[in-house]
Amino acid sequence: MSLLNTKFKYFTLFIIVTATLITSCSKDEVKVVTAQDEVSALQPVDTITKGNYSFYIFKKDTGDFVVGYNEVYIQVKNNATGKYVEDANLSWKPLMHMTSMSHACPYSAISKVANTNTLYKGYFIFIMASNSSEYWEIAYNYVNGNDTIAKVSNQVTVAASTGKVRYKSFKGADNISYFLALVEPSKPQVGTNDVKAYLYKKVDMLTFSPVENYTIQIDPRMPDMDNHTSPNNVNLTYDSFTQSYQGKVNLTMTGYWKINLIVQDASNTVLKGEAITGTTTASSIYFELEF
Amino acid sequence: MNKRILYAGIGLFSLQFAYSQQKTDSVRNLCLKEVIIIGKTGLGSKNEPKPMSSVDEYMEQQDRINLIKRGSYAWEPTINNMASERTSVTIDGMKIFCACTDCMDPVSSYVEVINLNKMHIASGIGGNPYATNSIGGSLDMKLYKAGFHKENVSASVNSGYETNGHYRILGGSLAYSNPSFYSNSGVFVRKSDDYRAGGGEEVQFSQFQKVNLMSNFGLRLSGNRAVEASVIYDVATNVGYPALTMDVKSAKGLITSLSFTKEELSPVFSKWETKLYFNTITHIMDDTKRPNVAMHMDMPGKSKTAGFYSTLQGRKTRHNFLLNLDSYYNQSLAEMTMYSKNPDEKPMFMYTWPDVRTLNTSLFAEDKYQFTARKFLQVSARLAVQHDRIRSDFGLSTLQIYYPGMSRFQNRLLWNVAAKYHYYLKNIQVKVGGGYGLRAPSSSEAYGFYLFNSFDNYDYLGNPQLKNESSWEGNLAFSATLGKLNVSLEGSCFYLNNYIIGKPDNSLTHMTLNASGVKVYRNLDHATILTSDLTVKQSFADYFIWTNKASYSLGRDDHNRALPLIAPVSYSSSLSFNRKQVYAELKLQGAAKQYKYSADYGEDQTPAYLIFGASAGYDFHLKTYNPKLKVGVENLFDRKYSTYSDWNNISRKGRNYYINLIINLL
Ligand SMILES: [Cu+2]
Ligand SMILES: [Cu+2]
Repeated sequence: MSLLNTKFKYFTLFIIVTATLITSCSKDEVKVVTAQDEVSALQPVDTITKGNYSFYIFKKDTGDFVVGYNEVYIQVKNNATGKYVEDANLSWKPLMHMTSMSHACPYSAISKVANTNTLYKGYFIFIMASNSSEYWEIAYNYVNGNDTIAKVSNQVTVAASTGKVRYKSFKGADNISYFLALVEPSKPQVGTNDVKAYLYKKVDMLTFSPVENYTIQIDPRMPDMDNHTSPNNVNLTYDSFTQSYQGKVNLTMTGYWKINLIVQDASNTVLKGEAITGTTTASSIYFELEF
Repeated sequence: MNKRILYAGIGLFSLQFAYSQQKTDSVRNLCLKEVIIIGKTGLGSKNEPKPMSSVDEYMEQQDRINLIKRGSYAWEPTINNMASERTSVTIDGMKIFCACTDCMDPVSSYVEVINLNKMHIASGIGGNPYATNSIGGSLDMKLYKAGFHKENVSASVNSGYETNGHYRILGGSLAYSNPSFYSNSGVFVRKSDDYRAGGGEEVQFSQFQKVNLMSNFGLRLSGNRAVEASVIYDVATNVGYPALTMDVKSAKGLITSLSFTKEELSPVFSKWETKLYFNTITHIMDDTKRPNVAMHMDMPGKSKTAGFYSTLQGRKTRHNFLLNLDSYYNQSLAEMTMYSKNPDEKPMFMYTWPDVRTLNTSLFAEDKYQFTARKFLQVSARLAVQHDRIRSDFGLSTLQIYYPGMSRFQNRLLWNVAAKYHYYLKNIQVKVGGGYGLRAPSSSEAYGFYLFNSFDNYDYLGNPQLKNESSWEGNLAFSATLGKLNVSLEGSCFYLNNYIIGKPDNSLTHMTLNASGVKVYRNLDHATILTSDLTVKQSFADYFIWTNKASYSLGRDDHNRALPLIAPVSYSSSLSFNRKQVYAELKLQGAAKQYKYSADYGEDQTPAYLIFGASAGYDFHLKTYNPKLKVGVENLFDRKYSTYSDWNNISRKGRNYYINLIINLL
């Protein structure tokens, strides 16, 4: 009798739990996505308030900005209404204040993140680390037509990149300074990985522009494995829509990979980098992946 | 070869055959290509110079079988010069697949002589209902079962010692039989240190040890039915492979089966056996004992197989037929983790076998049609469906780098047909046969990922796009007896289309440090393999037999270049004396220089060699125990030599004295 009782109890419990699950699931579906939900996976970097507006700055990982590619997310809140601005026209300008001069770095425009109401994003490719006396400052600008609605700025720390090499600056054979930053793969996997990189050149100290229609040859190698490489890699070519270079890299195992690079201009003249041969085991420009 | 029934008793068990054996003689036994009786006392034991031989050494005595040796343990049998991919090795009809990507653990390494009753060797396509994907030949190792007999208990202790390598052998077994129940169990241990090559040089990393446990049970039920079960657990540890760059920490095999048999179902159907089986093999390699390892690696592998077969035998008028439905599911998984010398770097991991799942189902039919008492025709056919699946996403995506868009699945339809005509005249026997068959690529050939082959120093990449390999086979056997002289000549030739072999691909880079490059498995348009054996046996002076053997093989690819691992001309001659309890033998054995070695496939020339041996045995007839004593010497003149099938030319054993002692306690 008691056994039957216990069984019955469990059965009732099961029904209740199931019912709860079903109701909670259906509740999820109609739930309104809040501004907080949209940044729940991001790490806050800074909050800058000026006048009625607050700028909330986020990035995907914790820690400082680093030399190379940095993705930045922004929300803007109107403190008067308490609402997040959903159609802000945002722009920004990075500037490094050095003791003897100042300069900018390659950076993108700011665009709305797809499928969100309040989130904007863009990137910087910082080209130098800050130190105690030399710092980066980023000015954010919220405009409506010709009217500046809010303009804020903050100082950020840019650390030297200590991990694997994902950014290279070099002087090309054409005597132009180039800045090359790896975006993808951010989480490399064994098999075929999409590669995305940005290539900028320096026009002057304050102007950096994306380079179009070059080719970036890739040659992934494992120095630990007699410079083993993989076949069927796809060199990076320019995609005008994203203004980035895209290709594919094949990784045959986990571990440390050196992605050797050769940058060629639109007429296939090599600007930087060397092909891997029996005697040349690495190019002078490369990215590193480890997973 | 047909007539060679080699009674190689190791004196473990009682005299009787298992009941199933008794039923299968008559015409069937005439057709067995080759049967080596191992686990039987009495009659034959005097003729076996070294009963405590390993299974490998037993196989080596057989025509058509050669063994690829990577050390002193776990030799890989080849039949008609064809290795594991082209041959089938089964244990009591059970499919077992090795768990090592480097063939360090052929199926035969998971059994012991104590487990076996006989080996059934079939050359070429036909002759074995349980052989799948085999075109070169097959080997079915029949387990020893005490059988249903009048009540009997037997126990024995087997021991052996060999001076070279301080090789110790010890085993014990116990068997009980009665008309409705039997059980036999045994334990067997082998342990050897490094052996010395001819001249005295120690061959480092040639040590091994292994423990084998086995148990069989049988229960006879009413209505001619019986249930039988068997378990083998075999563990080899600390096995050195001097020819390879790493050793084996452990190789474990658990082999289990349960079978149901019904006999005399009807006047037509004489026997119906259905067996369910499961086996699991784990293989863990070890490079930690080697000096100057460039990169430490972990390379574990596992292979699990579950399957069944159902065999129906019958006879009607002049027909003697057999039907077999057979299915197995195998999982083969092997991984490799490499550790950089730089401790800050993450380990490099990959699957060398990407968790390959193979489901193979086949139907086999065989009929022997007896024209007259001296003439019969044996025909067989097999139809099989094989479904492969790569279970590991990780492994699939690495292979897809090389084969963009390759599917996770693969289906292959495989079949073969064979026929053989047997003709027995007074003193002459003739057999003429032929066949055609297909085999699917092995796991390594289809899906292997950067498997390093130290033989030609290449990394091997599997190729899922391989076509099935096919073989046209013709064979002829002739034997004549003139008084006390017997001459027999046998030959087989194979014309293989889409022959699968690794070919260098210069567009790929190797992975293994200092490898010469990468080879990818390809289908050659064709290849030809020919094997032949001549045996001349002369008996004289009542107690003496003089046996001479010679064999010749040939292997050619589609550009008429030599294929690798084809035996050179080899020969042996032995003179044996056998009178009552005394047995003695002198033997010489050698091979000619390997003229047709395959430089194109990474082989070098093996020089000629000639070695001598002698053995003697005595069966004591004491009141109770009847011990059998065998002593002998191998490589008497301590020649330093290696054979064509010694991986990387490692030297064979130098002079070796041995003693085997078998005591039947009950
Ligand atoms: Cu600066
Ligand atoms: Cu192995």
